[in-house]
Amino acid sequence: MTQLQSHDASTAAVSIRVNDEWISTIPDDLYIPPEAFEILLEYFEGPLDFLLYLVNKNGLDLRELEIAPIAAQYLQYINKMQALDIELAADYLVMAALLADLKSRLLLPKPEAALALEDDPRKQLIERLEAYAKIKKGAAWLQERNVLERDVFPTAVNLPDSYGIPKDEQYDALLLEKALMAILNRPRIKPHQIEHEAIQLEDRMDAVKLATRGQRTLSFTELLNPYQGRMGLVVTFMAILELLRQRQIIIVSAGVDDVLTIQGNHDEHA
Amino acid sequence: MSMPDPAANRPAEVGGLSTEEALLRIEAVLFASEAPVPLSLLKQVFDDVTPSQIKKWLDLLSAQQNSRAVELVETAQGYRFQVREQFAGLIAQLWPERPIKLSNALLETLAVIAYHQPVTRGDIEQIRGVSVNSQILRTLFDRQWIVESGVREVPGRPALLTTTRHFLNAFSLQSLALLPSLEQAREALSAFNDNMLLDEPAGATRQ
Repeated sequence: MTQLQSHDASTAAVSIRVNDEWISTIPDDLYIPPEAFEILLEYFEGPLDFLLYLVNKNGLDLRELEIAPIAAQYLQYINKMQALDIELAADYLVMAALLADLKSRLLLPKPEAALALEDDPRKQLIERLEAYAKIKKGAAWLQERNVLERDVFPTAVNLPDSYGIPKDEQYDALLLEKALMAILNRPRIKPHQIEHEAIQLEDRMDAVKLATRGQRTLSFTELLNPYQGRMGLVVTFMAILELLRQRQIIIVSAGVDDVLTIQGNHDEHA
Repeated sequence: MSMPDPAANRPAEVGGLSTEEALLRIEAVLFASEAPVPLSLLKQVFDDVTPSQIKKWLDLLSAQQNSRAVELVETAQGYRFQVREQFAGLIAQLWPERPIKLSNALLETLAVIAYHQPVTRGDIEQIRGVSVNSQILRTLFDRQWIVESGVREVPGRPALLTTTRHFLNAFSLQSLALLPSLEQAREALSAFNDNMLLDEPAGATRQ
């Protein structure tokens, strides 16, 4: 995480726009070059985690409600990253919208009476940050615990076989023989299975060759055996391709304008 | 098995049992059990012995483990022997697939449920500021660390999540009351100094 401390000199003179406000220099209290934030995104657990980081980096005291500079920094990052086409998780954008809203509210002129703490738009965010900080602390505490099957392991002691409950009963091995005999003596039921006749490519090739022995042209439909169904259609087509490759047949009509039609090639096969 | 007698001024026999015999019985039951053994079950091992006497024996049995690789601990589910933490590295080395890993995201989700229970997914999202990872919740359910304990009577009737005794057991907690109080928000916030970012990457386990 050395990127955090390193200042990128090239970022000193950039011009960025934050909420219709042009900022020509990045404040000194920005520690992370936005480019590095893409890597850091995986490190932070979300926008609240990142906000907490900014709070601590700036040494701010949340009880003083110093949320405005943090909101500004957060928005600067988000805008810069969007300018760089860095993909942001929706959670970060939701927080950006919330902070932008908060910032604009703070710009509104304050009423005569001092703003009651309960009405302060900053209060809700700070409460969320505090609640999240507590949870982070609780999570860290849990992480430090001796976790079963991570740090400590349950003992696994086997009981001796003689403890087996219930105690092994004795059985006559002849029972097994009798059971087997019973199976063998059972009347045989012959299951009737409908056999699916496989369609052999060779058979279809032979059939096509036989059909094209003469000079007659044959359409694809004439070559099909209607009892062979869809699979017969596929295999017959494959048979035609194979015979074509072997130059045993020629294409009369390619099946584009007219139905696929072939004819025996008797020039080469005398 | 001989053992030093740290209870010399104690009656040698309770309920017709020598201390040594009583400790051996407890040890046998704890080792034979697959789950932690509650005091109520241990009570059935003896006739007419008070829970406080059994607790004294458990303390003695615990002290006996000083030079051993196992220790006797009390959890929410009862008493159990466990392999000491100092051997976690050794076990991870021999069975690298065995030790579980707990990511920061998982622990934060678990912490929200533990501290604010019962909570809905929406509560978790509100507190953590990120959408709930379903995989994390599934892992917590699979480990039986959390359960659905009902629904909140609001539109959508979202399920309420609570932690279980398995969770307490896994983190060696006897009750939820032993979770540290986080009321000191100032302290919690100040805990996030620069070291926070110098920690191991998210998801790394302690050695």
